[in-house]
Amino acid sequence: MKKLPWRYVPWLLLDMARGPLMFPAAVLAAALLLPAVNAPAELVTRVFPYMLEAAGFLTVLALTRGLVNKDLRRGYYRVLFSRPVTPGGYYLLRWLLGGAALLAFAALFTGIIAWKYGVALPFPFYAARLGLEYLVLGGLVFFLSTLLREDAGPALVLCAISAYYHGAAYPPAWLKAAGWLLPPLNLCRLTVAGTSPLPALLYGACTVAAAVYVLQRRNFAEGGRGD
Amino acid sequence: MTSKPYKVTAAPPAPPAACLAELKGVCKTYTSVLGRPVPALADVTLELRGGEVVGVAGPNGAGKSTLLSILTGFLAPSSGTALVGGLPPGRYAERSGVACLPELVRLPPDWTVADTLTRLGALGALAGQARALRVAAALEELGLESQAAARVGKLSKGNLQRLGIAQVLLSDSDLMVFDEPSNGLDPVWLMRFRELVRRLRRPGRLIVVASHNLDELERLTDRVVILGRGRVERVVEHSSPAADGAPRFFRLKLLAPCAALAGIFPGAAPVEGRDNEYRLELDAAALSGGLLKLLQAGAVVLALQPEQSGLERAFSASMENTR
Repeated sequence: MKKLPWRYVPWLLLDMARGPLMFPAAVLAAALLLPAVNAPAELVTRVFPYMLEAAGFLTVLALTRGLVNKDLRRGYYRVLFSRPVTPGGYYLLRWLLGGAALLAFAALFTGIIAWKYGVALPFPFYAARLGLEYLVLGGLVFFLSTLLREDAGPALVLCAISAYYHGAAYPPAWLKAAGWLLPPLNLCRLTVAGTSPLPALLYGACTVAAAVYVLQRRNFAEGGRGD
Repeated sequence: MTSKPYKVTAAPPAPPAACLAELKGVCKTYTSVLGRPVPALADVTLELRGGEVVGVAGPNGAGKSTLLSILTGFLAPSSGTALVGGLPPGRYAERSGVACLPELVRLPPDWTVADTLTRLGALGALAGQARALRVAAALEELGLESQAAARVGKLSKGNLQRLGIAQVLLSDSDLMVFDEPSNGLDPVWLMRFRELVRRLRRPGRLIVVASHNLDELERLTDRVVILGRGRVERVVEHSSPAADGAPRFFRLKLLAPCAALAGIFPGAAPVEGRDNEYRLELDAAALSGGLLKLLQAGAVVLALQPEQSGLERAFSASMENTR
């Protein structure tokens, strides 16, 4: 943790607030400003978790999309990493702050719902599942971002294949063989309880570790000018 | 006036110290879109010492930027060894930072000038008051105070280049790399940049400048590495231009024709289309003696300038060899 440039956190938060946090902020504003209908508690506890799940998924994508490859594509890395900072530490810190922002969003969302409808949603459970989703999906996008010029698209394709794989009664043999490569998002659902988080934890930890490993070893410039 | 927080050496530079950057048999080969290998550097071996200013010259595609990218740790050599301060360049940059002006200054367009310097200062481990002082000094040094609130995306090419140089000043690294620093700079800022490089010089610090501009390199550097097709064609030490006593070409311009000229400089050849202008080939001693005689003979000298510097001649000769 010593290698993370904590001194740069205020500017990273500012960048997040100006960019990827606009979407969850809009969701929170809508939740706050829309008039509360007189809904029974049972309906609230059934509907809002789905909304949070969908908003959480999109927020993870917004927070991690272009995490690394944007700086590489645009050539910003030359001024950033001529400073005494490790690229792996820099992007890992950005990724961690994204996770914290997601949890803050979930806390605010459940807080707003509790205040407007008088129904307490189980925040610790939601936080754990959203955290797991960030680890799995956010970790995958982070990893893809270190290797590819586009990360969210391929990650979405893998998510779609994963949804098919986990939903199919008889998935094809090739898909079974490659199943461990697919993000286990089925284990991160807010609306499905009782699944073991271990495979998701392992998957997420591996993608994040792989992303940091690649960052510490890859050439940042593609050519002399590198842009 | 803000005091300059970076070290200023008014005295002449100290003698070069120990080797700071070392390249041994460095090769770099890119792969083209079609999968073909494209050699950018081939067997480059160099020792660059702390305390010196080294130029890197060469035609387009000679490998200048690749060499600088390897020195700054953004590219790893395909083979060979590159070390800065005894470490692989990337590790050195992570530990100590590298003051680096890229050939193309790329910064997020929505950052302001002051914000850019403050952020990069923070990332470079400058804190609080020290950072504020350093940023203010860099803004003043590069004449960017009035642009402090301007967004990077709105800057002119010259101002963006000055911002690029300003962010270099935030670093106290022993390795400073400038890739085409004169890009977009007007003559006034070009002169200030030269002065700045002189002041940034200090014992133990290596300053590397890559440029197409040989005149610029001759003014700024102690020696110049001439690259051609990825190879080191030659290294020209030019801090004392006439030290080798070899004849040089000069252009001499007189106010009026002088009958004694042919006797004093027998090889003087009139320059076509120019009145009273002559081309001379002689060494420094013969030039000085001849000039004295010419002035005693009543000639009025309007101008005397080297026609081609030692560096230019070395560069031309290197390029002849690589054809």
